Amino acid sequence: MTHTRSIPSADSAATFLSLFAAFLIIVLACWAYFPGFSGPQLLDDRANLAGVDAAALGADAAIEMVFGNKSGPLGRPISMATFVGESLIWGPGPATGKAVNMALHAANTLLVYLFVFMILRDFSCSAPRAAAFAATMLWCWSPLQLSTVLYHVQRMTLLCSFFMLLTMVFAVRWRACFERGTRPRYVWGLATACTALLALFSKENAATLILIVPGLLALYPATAGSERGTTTAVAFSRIFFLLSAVVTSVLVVQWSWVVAGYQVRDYTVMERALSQPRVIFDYAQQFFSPQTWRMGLVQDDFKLSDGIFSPPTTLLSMLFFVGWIALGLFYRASTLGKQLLMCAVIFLLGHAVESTVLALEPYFEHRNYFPSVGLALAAGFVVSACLKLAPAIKVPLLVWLVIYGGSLLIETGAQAMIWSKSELIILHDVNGHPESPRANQAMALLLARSHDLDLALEYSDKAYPNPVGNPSLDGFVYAMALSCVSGQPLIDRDASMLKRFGGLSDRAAREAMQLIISGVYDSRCDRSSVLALVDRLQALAELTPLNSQLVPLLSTVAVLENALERYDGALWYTEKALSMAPNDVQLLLMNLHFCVAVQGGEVCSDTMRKLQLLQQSGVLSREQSETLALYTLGD
Amino acid sequence: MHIERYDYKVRLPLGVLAVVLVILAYMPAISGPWLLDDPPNLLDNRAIQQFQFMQFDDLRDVAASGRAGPLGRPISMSSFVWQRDDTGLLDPFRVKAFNLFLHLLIGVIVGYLARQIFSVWGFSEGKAKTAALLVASLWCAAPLHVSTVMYAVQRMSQLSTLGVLAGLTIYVHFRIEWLYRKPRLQHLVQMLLWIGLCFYFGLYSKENTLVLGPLLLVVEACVFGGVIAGSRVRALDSAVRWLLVLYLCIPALLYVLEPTWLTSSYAQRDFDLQDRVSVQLPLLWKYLQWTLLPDLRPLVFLQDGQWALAGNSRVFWFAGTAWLFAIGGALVFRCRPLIFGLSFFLVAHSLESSVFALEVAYEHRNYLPSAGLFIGAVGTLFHFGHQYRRPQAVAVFLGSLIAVSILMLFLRAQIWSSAEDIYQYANDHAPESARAEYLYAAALLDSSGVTDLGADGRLLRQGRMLEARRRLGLLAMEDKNDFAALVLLIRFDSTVIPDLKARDVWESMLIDALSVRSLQAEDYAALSHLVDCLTAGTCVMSDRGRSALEQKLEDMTQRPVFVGGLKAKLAREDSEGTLRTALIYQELAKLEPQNPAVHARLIEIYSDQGERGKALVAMQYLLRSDKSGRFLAPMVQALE
Repeated sequence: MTHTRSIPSADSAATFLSLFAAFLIIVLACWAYFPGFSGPQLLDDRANLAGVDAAALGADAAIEMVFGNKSGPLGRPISMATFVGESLIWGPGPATGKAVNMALHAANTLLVYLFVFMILRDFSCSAPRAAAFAATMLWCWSPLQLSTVLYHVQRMTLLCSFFMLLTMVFAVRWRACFERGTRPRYVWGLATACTALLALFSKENAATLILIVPGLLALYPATAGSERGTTTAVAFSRIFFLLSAVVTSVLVVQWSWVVAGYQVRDYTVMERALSQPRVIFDYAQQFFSPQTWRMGLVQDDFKLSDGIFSPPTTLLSMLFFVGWIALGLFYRASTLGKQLLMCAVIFLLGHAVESTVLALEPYFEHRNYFPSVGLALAAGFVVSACLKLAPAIKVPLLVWLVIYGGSLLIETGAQAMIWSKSELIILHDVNGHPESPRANQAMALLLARSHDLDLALEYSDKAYPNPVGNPSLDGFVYAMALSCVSGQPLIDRDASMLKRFGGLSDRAAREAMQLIISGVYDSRCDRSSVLALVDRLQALAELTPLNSQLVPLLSTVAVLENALERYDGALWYTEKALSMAPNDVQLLLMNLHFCVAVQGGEVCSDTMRKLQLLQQSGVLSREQSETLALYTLGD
Repeated sequence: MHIERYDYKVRLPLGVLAVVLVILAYMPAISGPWLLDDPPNLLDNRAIQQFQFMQFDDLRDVAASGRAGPLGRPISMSSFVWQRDDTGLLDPFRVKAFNLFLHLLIGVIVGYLARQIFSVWGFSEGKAKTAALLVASLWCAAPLHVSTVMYAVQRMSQLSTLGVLAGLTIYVHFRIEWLYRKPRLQHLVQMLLWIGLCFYFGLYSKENTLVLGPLLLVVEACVFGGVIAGSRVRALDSAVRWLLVLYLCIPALLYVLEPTWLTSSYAQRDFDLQDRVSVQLPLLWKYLQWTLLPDLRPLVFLQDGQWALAGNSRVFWFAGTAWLFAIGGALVFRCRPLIFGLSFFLVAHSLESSVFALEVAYEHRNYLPSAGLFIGAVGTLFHFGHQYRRPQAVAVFLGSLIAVSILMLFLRAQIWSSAEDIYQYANDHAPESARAEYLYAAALLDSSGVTDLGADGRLLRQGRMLEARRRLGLLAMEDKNDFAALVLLIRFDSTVIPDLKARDVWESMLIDALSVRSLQAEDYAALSHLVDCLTAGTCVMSDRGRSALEQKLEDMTQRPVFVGGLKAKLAREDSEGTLRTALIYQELAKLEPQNPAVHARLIEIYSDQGERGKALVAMQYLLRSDKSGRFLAPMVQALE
């Protein structure tokens, strides 16, 4: 009697301790992250979240903001809704957003604990609570997560991971109920589908669930002697392989679409594909043994592999992952094999969208936020296996693990301090990545804002190495932008050195051009230098056979001409651009504006008519219609 | 049952009484002063001063703020932030009270360790407990330890000792199990993990914890003798002995195989390897006496006078013979406790009292070794008491020793209630100590303790100043290289008796000293004090003297960043001071790009000059070179 009573009390004590441990993990993480809440807006924050002020927007605009985001094919409305919602409740600003991100990170930590615990328990691992605690601590405190949590726009990743974790938890619950044949399986099944959809509309990475969930369910340990469990595992294995084949086929069929994406990249699909095993291996290394000096948003100096032996780590990392999967497949019937494969399913398939062949940038830390659950699970399995072999080491091992986790948290805390100041982020990036164009551009801009053009140009030259006698337009534009920002004239740069009409293909250069344009309006730029640049560009453009790739450049230069009140030139550029993109609404509007300015309203009736036709066919956005209305009213 | 009753009726009350008496004896010193290394390490520590509980990273900042030792002693440093007062300043009472708490905690561990060891040596349970209680009481009441417990910064030694003794206790605890049954692998791993934790804790408190490994060998050799599961494993026993011999031969091997590694660290010292080694043998014998005999006379805290042992061959041979007799006697009588005590004492001293280029003598170096020595000594007395059937006599002797120790402890704690008393006592009992002479003179100059504002008080203050000047003058005359004394004399004469021409003599002696003396840490501190004093106007030097000083600074090659800082301070006095200061630090940044302090200073200079761009670039280099992130918090503040 006494014995039967003591079991639930011991269990409830263990549950209480687990919850308390999870609470401690979260509280300490919040404490470490806290300084970073006051950090600045970063890279994509500006593009995605500019103008998210729900109170000022009004209902229609807020709804358009939720459903009008273009950063992914599905528009990520759920994530956008949280941005609008938080600004409505707590007001706009990065600090609010980062605090909300932290809250999501805390929720995800709880879900990771729950998921790892369920998996370990169902695999009949030793000390599942202790092992889940260690795995969760490692996952939550790893400095690798910082660039997701303290990067406002990565709410998309956090929210997507939240729903993905929920999906996995529900799927595991469904599997357990299904095996027992109990009724709640319908609820869990429905919940799995709903959360998967929510994840997909938070960020498209959730598409990987289509493989992760079947993989997880196929590897989930069946109850000993349960025929239903074995049948389910086999069925899901087949579903997994079938879906894998479908995905691969789609990829093969759409290969030209994949390759086409690389037109805007300066590397090939092969280089990216060869590099990704190295990148993923590096992610794993950064998760377990972080080198924080090179962590951050700027990773554009990552040297891509151009052959299987170049560098040799390409082959080694490939062999590592192949070995991991091969070992798992070889022992697939045993618990070890299933555990190896389950970690691979979460970690490697979690990377399947962003770290395979799609034409995305090669390296970003936030891509690990969800996949690293696979690494944490692996750590949980290892801890559990150790405790099975030697139960006596439980307490000292946990103390050592807390020390290890504590060292990770200390690193995270230091990184959070760096992330609290935009200047420190830039300095940290340029130290960690001295060859990175993006880091050097940011440093140059920072120095220009401090009115030190000479120093700024030193960094700008590192960002845009200048081939002798053939400077690039990008480099020149950036230098001029620095001159405008610093309020100091550009002395030793001569626009006549430019030999080719082309450039502004990278975002930094386009942003630099925008700085010049606003500098011209504010009279912060040296007007004669800008005029020299514009004259040289026009001379080069007239000599260059124009093609559709030059359209963005032509339209940007047109805006610059407009800023200089040289409407003839602006009109010339828009006409050239329209000859290659005749239905581009923005170009048409620009052309109309310059045409009216140069030639008067009557002459521009063709453009007006064309725009009106496009408006009737619903192509124009609200703002574009409003702009057009200005000319119509005038007419 | 009988033993348990005896525990509750006799030993426990006696233990509590010993604890209470030790606490009471320490009370006078607990509100004592900050000393020597306390201000630079603790009081002037920015990270401790600015620690905010809300800021998680401040914990790392404090942990990384240590300057001592190759690892920075982060655990020790972190332990201090919890003893600040409401204004954020460290409270000496709280710091010393915590040190006392640690002392008693270590005392309990010493007692537990002793009891375990005594039981392995075959003491009956009751005798083992009594002997352990005596060991713990003797160790806690040793007046020698006042200079560790009441010297705030020596928390580092205490925490390291705690780590080592905890590691040894864990080893003994597991090992006792294995005397009777074979160890299982999981228990072996469990023990290693626990010992590893203790080692980690101790090592990051102070690097002396490295002796834990050799001390485990001593414990294995002298306590367990390679016995596992009831039989002696000869291979283990031999391996342990050979490893111990190998460990003790490491300095000799280093000297033969890699002599420059040993000798290079002596380049910045005013003594060489031979000097230090020749002193250590007699000094270790002295340490042994200081530990075992509660005699206050040699416990002067400032032990630099022990250099007097260097040239004394008679003392050397006497100490050598004494050691030979002690070790030989222990071996001849096969007295395991004595062998253990002496081996533990010597091995625990092997880092700080052997070949490394550390200062000659410190009392706190005995904090750990004394634990093993007391276990060995008490064990030996009990051993012989049992052999000659005089157990009561031993107990009475040891009880009396504890009583005398507590009395001496109380007396020493009285001395340690004020800095002036400490230095006066040191000066009275160690006239050969230049440091004691200097510090006492410096203490006399501080008349803040004289509260009488009347004629008597004025007379007393004047008398103290004259006495201080006389002592400093003698020190400067007798020991011409005493840099600190010369600096203090220049300051004294500049402020108190500016018309006296003696200042020129001190100036020329100081310049001479700069030429002939290999500057030590305290000389650099004095030099810094002189420069601060000159820039503040409280020290006056002739133009010739000042330019000679500046020239000497230019010629110095040691510690370029420190010297560069002094040059920059002096340069700031000039009309083009800011420019020259910037130039000096720009040169230093090229010379030592990995030194974060240089870049930190450059940031200040550029910020003062309004050159934000250059300040940002300096900040970039600072962030790069500052591996431990010591400057991260100031950088964040600067950007705010």
